[in-house]
Amino acid sequence: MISRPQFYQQSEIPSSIARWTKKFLANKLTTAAAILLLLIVLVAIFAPWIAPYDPAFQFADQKIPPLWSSDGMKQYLLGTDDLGRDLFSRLVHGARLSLKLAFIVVFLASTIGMLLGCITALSNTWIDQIILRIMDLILALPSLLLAIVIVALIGPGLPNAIYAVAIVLVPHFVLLTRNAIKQELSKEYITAMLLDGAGRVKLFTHSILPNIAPTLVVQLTLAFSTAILEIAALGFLGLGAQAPNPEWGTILSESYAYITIAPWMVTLPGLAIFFTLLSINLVGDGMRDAMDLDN
Amino acid sequence: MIKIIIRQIGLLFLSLFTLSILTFGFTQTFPDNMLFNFPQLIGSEINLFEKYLDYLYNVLTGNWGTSRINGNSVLNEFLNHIPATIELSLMALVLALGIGLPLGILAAENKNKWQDKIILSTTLIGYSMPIFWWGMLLVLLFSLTLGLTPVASRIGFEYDIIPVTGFMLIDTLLSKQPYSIEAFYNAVQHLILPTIVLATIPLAIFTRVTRSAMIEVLSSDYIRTAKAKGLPYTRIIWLHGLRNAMIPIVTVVGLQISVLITGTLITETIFSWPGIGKWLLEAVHRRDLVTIHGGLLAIAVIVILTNITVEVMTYFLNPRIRYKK
Repeated sequence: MISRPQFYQQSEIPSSIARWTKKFLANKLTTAAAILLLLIVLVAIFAPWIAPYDPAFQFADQKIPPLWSSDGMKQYLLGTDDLGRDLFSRLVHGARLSLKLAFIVVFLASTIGMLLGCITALSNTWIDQIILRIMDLILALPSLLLAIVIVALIGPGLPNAIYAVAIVLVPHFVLLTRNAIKQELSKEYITAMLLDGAGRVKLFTHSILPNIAPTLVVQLTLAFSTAILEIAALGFLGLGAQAPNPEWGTILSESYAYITIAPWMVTLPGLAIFFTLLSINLVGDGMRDAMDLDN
Repeated sequence: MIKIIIRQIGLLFLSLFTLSILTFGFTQTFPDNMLFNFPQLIGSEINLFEKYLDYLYNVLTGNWGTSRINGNSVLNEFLNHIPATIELSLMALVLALGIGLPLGILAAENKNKWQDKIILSTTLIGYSMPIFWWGMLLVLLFSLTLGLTPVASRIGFEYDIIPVTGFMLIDTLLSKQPYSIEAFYNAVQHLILPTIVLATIPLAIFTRVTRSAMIEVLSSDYIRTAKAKGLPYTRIIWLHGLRNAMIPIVTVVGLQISVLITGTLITETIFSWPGIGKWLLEAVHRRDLVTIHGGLLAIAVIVILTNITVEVMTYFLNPRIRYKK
């Protein structure tokens, strides 16, 4: 930098966030995914104003195909289901429900997980070992199986499904936070801070946290997709959201019986889940690339 | 080397111990303690530690209690259902590896070219696929529209196959019926769709791992030496390159067992496949806690054993550890 000819007209060095944003937007695919994700989130937030009808209201017109087929009716954009409920309204409200549930799950899991991760990383005692053993065991078990067992124990239904998925997600956050902190602790600038007389709290908030934040943000994004998928899977298996709720997985399991006569009832909710997961995964991958994190 | 293996065995016992504590805690939440039949203990006051020892003794001697629904021994029920799941999972694993490895290598060879980009985006699509929906789509297309494959179960009802091993592909060939060959083809047809559904996510993961492992290996010095020696290209990739890339791949294959089991829970529900997943879900819907306990215990032990075995296998694959004193 010093060798630059116009020394006194220094251009501003962009902040990390500005650099990341630039690199992120340079990839057209991830940008498109980010826009799609933004749209889905907006639909979820403004669902009551976007959906033309109440998601549980039953019209007399049952199993009307979507607008683009020859039998479609113009008042039902994506058709109606076996009980005459407008599918478009149900999917829009489903976006709201799914994203809200995923948000609660990720919030619960990340708060508990990161706290435990910090505790294990900063305490070099038997606490560390005990928490690690338990987390390893939970990680080894198939996630959906564990969620199912938890639901079986405390009973099916939405709140219980949320707790179950959150518990399953916690170990990922614990291990990630712990490993990230351990990795930072072994670096030389931390030793320099210690030699300068920084206290534990100062060291953590001032040096470690800003440096592990990108890893955690990427993990948070990807946890969203896991949470949506697991909640939908529980709903599909009849253990998550229950019948009148317009949850995507629950809609799918209700529609499977009508797959021969009303295939749009199966394809459309699945497309909603698929595009949501795809956009989140693409954004997560793009963020990881932009921030130069390795897996 | 021996030291490391002993350490792994120690870890295995530690994991099993933690698991037993967990499952024991699970049994303590049962509304009435009907897990095992202890006539000698009813009414007598024993403390938690004695209860735990008793639990351990029963589990180890194969007394996993009886199902509340049909009165069968849970261990027997589990052994009856596991072959169907193993058959399906093995097929899916073979399919995922058979396609995933070559695809990953192809992507690594053409890093950042169009082949790589197509393969990478396809894996992302596979990774984002909710497999319960994917299964329905395949049924809609191949079974209902094209009529190529059956919709559900392991074999057509017109074939009467006596279970010997529990693996349908082997049983059909072993059976003395005149139609055993047709029955075999029928069983294969029934396997196709569930295998594809179950293999989708592992396939995406294997492709990505193979790609990144191969890229790292192909950029190393010894590959450049091999190229400079003038060795044939396929030999460099498949013999020199893949051998070293195998270590991370084997680790990931081992981790997929838990993804596969998660997948079987869903796949077996869609295709009415009479395996562990369907058995467990039925138990959940009927709140048959004894069966759930047995299933959880067995699956957890399988997963832990596989993980440790794979871990030890990577040591044998890796000469740096193999020859360590």
